[in-house]
Amino acid sequence: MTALRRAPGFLLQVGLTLLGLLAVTFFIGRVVPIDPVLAVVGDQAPRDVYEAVRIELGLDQPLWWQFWVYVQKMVTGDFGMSLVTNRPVIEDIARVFPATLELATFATIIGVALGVPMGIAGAVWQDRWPDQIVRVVGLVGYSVPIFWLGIVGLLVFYGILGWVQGPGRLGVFFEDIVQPVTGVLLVDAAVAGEWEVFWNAFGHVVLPSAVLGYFSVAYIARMTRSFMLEQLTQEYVVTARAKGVSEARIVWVHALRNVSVPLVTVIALSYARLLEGAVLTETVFAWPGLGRYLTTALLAADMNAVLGATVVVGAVFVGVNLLSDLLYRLLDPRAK
Amino acid sequence: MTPRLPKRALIAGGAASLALAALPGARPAVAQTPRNTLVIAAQIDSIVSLDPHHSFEIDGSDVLKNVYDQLFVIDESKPTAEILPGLAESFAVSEDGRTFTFRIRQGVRFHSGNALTAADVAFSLRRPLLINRTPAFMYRSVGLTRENVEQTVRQTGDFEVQVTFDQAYAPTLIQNLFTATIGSVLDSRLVQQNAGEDLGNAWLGRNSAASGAYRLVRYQPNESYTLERNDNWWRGRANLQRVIVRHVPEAATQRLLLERGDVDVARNLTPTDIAALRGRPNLGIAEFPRATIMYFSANMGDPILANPRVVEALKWLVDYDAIASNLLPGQVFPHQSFIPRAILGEVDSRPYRFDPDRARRLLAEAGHPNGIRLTMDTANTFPSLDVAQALQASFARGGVTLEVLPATGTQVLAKFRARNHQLFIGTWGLGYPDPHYNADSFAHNPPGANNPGKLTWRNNWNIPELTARTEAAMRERDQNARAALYRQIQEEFIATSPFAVFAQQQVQVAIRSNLTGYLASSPGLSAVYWRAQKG
Repeated sequence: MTALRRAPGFLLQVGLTLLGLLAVTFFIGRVVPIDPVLAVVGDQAPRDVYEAVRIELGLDQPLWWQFWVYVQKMVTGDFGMSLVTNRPVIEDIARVFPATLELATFATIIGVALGVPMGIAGAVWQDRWPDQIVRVVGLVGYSVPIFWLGIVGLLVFYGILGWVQGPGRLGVFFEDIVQPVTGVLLVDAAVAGEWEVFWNAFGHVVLPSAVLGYFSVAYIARMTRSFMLEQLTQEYVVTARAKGVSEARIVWVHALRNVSVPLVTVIALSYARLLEGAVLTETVFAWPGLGRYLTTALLAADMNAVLGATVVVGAVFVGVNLLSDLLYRLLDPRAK
Repeated sequence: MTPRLPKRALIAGGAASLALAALPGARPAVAQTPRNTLVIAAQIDSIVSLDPHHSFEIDGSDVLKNVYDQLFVIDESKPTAEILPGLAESFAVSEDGRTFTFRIRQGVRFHSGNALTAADVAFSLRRPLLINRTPAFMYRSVGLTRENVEQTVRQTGDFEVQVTFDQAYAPTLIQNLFTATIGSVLDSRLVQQNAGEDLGNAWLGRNSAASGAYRLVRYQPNESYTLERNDNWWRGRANLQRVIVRHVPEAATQRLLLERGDVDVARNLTPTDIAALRGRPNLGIAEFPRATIMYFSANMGDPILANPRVVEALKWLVDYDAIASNLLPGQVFPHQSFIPRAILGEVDSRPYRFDPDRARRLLAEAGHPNGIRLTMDTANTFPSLDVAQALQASFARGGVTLEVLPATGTQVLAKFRARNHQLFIGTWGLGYPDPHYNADSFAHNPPGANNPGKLTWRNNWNIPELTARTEAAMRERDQNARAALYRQIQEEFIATSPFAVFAQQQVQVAIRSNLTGYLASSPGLSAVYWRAQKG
């Protein structure tokens, strides 16, 4: 009941957040001395071509009017045309976002599957060798540039060992076998029963998601460790020990349950950050994701694409936050 | 050869394998591309549209020239731009020199199976002006406009089209213009079936309606395109059945793909990659001149730069050889005039070299014995920024303190077009393989006109006499006489212009050595795929 009562307020908040995001991006885009007309017509265009395109883009109208027109269209789902790809921004995003979603989801699974146990191990055996390993892994994860790790990963696992597929989402000879439904290749291939395509796509996603996931591992392991350490010094743990509860039960049942609440927030934030698109990883692995799309658009002064992608990123953040809020309520009885 | 890995790489690699070990089913990759397929790793994100009447980027014409046919063809087997008949089998010019009658080749079929007729040609010659995208200015420059195109382009028979221009242009100019992407002949029936209100502009952005060597079967912007051979091409059948070009933004990744044998060509490698690959078994390095020149120019509206001695001094302060061999090895070769190599009227005159003493003397004569301070606007990208920084060093040796002002490409261009610069450094590509295209911008500036499209205007270079000579060359009917006129114009340009042309670009690629006949760039201003074959 309370949730229903709060829904309109919540939606208003989301709407205002996205509108604010749009306004900031829009006006920054117009304030920076980038000429979107030149981005379309190029260096050699004579004056008449320039003027025609300026009017076509609506740049002769007052700024506030341009924004108003833009917001109106956006509400109806019309994000405008991308100058770079020459097709509707919404279609572009429908194509690049699933690529990022696939990568980010895999990376997060790796991050959680390895990061949480490693963090727990580090806390349980504090200052002993498992903890040292966690620390080194964390340190490397924080300090090594991701593009470098990506290139070295490609060199070793693709170039030398040949364990994984090369850059891109799919081998060139597997393109177009599966019709995109969700846009997430692994899902589409599995649903269509095209297992050759599935394994090829899997071979492509393993390495970039492992590289990205490594950074999640470093982050999640470190946070888990410190949350866990805090819990293990609490009085309820001492009580449990005094009652003779096994150490494994204390860690995995009692402490982990309490750790899970802040941990969900950490994981959600890490996931949301990956969903923005990892520009450098996507560039090294020729992965056609959101990060590279947004960067290419920015460099080409393609403001429609920039605004569209920004709104998507904003919506993702709101969505993931909402999700972690819901999980929070499930995990923490007090929040009910 | 297995590269030795630094220690940090081993730690990182070890960690990554730890992560990998948790995942089942990672299978070894299979290398080697099929014998009938050419696979290329390239940067193709500059392609805006695959509508041949809209596209104006080199990467776009690499696709379009292999998919569409034009009225004339630049012979792919020659190192210089020589014209062959294309869809126009022959042509005649009227007495007054303004009307061209083209005989259209019979028996040509589009990929759709539709027969190609004069109606398609007339449609295709009018359409660029009707959709009015950037390249349309090339047709407007010969007097075809949106308003007059129904009268100036006429179908006069099933296989005959007449075009009337506003002046008596040199026939070679018109032929060269019609070899360009904008001269592509479209399957008018197919276009009309798929056209909205935009004459098919949106549909053609990602599909084709063509008759050329290859069919476009798939295009995903910023990802890849796939071409399939047209077995009924009127010029014969291409050797390879399929061409796949994949967008790989990172040079190091392109190199790995090539080394693994997953691609046949790596198109955008750095000089470091090239040096590392040179001499490898099964790999070769190839270079192809590209009709893009690199220059910097001086704004003659500036009080210091209005003095020709100052401009000349700057030309003696460029270390031409160092730029070509050390700064941009393999990417450029020295060139000092505005007509690129392989184009009609080219001259290999390179009078300037790095001579700081001479530059100091010239500056002293110009009244600056203690040197001068100048600014140079440049895009903040390779290669302009890199050259600007090199110029900063070489200028300093002649007493010129250069402040480099980097900014984003469009920002710099806006400043240049508004004539608010002192020095500007940039590149200039040829729109169609004719000397007039560049002469029109580098050596033509009608008095009183306001034309930011022209480089002469942007640099306040007022040249009524040279402008008249450029117009004469534009009209000269005899090809040899025309070439001679351009050589004279360039002599004056080299001696007196506010432009220091210092290099011409070339495309350097690494290819698997079983591949022959592939041209990454050609005097026809595009890559050529149909001659490629695999041993």
